[in-house]
Amino acid sequence: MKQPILVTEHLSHVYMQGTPMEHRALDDVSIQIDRGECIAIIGHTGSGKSTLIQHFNGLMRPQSGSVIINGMNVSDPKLDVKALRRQVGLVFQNPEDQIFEKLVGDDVAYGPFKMGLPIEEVRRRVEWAMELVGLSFEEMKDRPTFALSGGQKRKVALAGVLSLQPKILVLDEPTAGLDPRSRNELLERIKRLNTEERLTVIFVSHNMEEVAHLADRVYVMANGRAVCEGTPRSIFSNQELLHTHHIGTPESVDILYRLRAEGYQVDPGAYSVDEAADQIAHLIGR
Amino acid sequence: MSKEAIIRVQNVSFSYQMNQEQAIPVLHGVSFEVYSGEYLAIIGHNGSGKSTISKHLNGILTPSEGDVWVHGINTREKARIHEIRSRVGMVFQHPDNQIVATIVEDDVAFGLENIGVAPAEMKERVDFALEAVGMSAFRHRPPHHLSGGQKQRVAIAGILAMKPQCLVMDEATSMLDSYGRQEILGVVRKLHRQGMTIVTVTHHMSEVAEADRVLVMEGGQIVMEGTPREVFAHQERLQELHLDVPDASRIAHLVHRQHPAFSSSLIHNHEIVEEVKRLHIRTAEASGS
Repeated sequence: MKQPILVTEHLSHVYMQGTPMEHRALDDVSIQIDRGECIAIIGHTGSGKSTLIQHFNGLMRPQSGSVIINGMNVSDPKLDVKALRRQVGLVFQNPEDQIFEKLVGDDVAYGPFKMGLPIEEVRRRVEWAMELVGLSFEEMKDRPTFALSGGQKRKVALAGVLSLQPKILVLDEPTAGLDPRSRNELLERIKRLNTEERLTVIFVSHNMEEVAHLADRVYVMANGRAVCEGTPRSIFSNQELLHTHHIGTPESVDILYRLRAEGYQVDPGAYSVDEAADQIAHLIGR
Repeated sequence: MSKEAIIRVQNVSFSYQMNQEQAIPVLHGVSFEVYSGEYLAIIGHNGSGKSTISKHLNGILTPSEGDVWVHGINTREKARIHEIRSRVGMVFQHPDNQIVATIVEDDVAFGLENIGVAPAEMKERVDFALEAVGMSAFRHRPPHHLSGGQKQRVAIAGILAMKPQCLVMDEATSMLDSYGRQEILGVVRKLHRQGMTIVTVTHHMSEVAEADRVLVMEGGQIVMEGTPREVFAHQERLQELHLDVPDASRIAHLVHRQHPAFSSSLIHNHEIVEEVKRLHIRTAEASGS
């Protein structure tokens, strides 16, 4: 039943090796992600999250250890990087890093166009990708990219990646800087891509509400190592782990921990607002 | 709090000029004042105009129509722009976009060099600014090795060295993890206590809860104004505006529905705990008697 689509084994990476600035960014990381999963990678700034995901579409090659993605070995010097990047779409944290055309439609079309697809197919994919992220094709295709809001830019960057129809979508802080509605909307769309389009989704986030809402499983990174793995519930109910690795909690979990510190019987693994409210109602109901 | 306005925004409209025929209107007749010593939050969905208005507060943008006055100086007076910016400093979203030097203390001194501050005073101001943001230990470090929260603190120090009366933060915490955010909020809280005027543009409703006053923007206009508690009372209206309330407010509302005695107007995490304690003691007494 479980079909691994992305596997790293003993992956390590050292920046500026052999210099006084030497820094071990990844240290013996072994993870396995199965087809169709939605995985969150969390950890403090500098824990190695970004270095890890840059291995997923060949932006970085393993120094030691291995990364196998859908049967492709990222260490292979003869690796067809273009083919890998058609399988793995990477959306950067800052959308301005990956928007370079003047018009929205041209920007989303860039990938499929470079793949040499017939123009009708390019148009069809652009329309599909734009609608999928909630950008009206007719209304937005001729908009200049520089006049977009932060949220719109992020959607354009995501559409540009989706137009390549990847099997795996890798997102670095997908909702940083978005307003609450755009955030929820984008999260719902990512969830639908995961459940309906059967896309494997891997995302890096420091927004724990987002992790709680979206992820099937969570990997916790610290000092370049994958120190823990589990469901959001098991991660958030482990206060020691969160504290040791400087990981924030959802606001509702913070409230529950504060109540527990006052001696109340609550389960901080109940991370949704509804569950937290039920627990509190139960407390005063007795 | 004195009601002396340090910034006056009067009937400001603004359009981004695309080309000769086409302009995209962003602000429509916005008027408000920023009072000395207050902590003002501006919220609104992406594209509502809140970042654009914040860039008017120290003359980065000037109005297409209307005026912005900083301490009585019109931001259109380009000759006095240094004077305006030394009074109102601004911190942006991306820490990497606002750090220019290769050593932390040089970066903090950058603005001072530009306005020709004498070396002795420069050192004094840099010391003060790094101390204020808790980054003195890092003064000889290269900024690119710092975490996001530390870089933002350096950016704030660069502004503080200019001794402004007002600090404007345009989503200054949105790229930071929760620890980085707490670092910045701690610094801002301290500055505000010491009398600094703070204007923050943010999507984090728990940050908004700390402000004295909130402006809500929609379609380039101010559509709501009040204390955080007043504004967060309108949960449904905020949702229509693509906004949210802090989780503490949502929890308070939900618990209130089941237990009317539980206040629905709570906005801080600690208030929830206090309310539970208040009611728990009462029910304990009631059941004990």
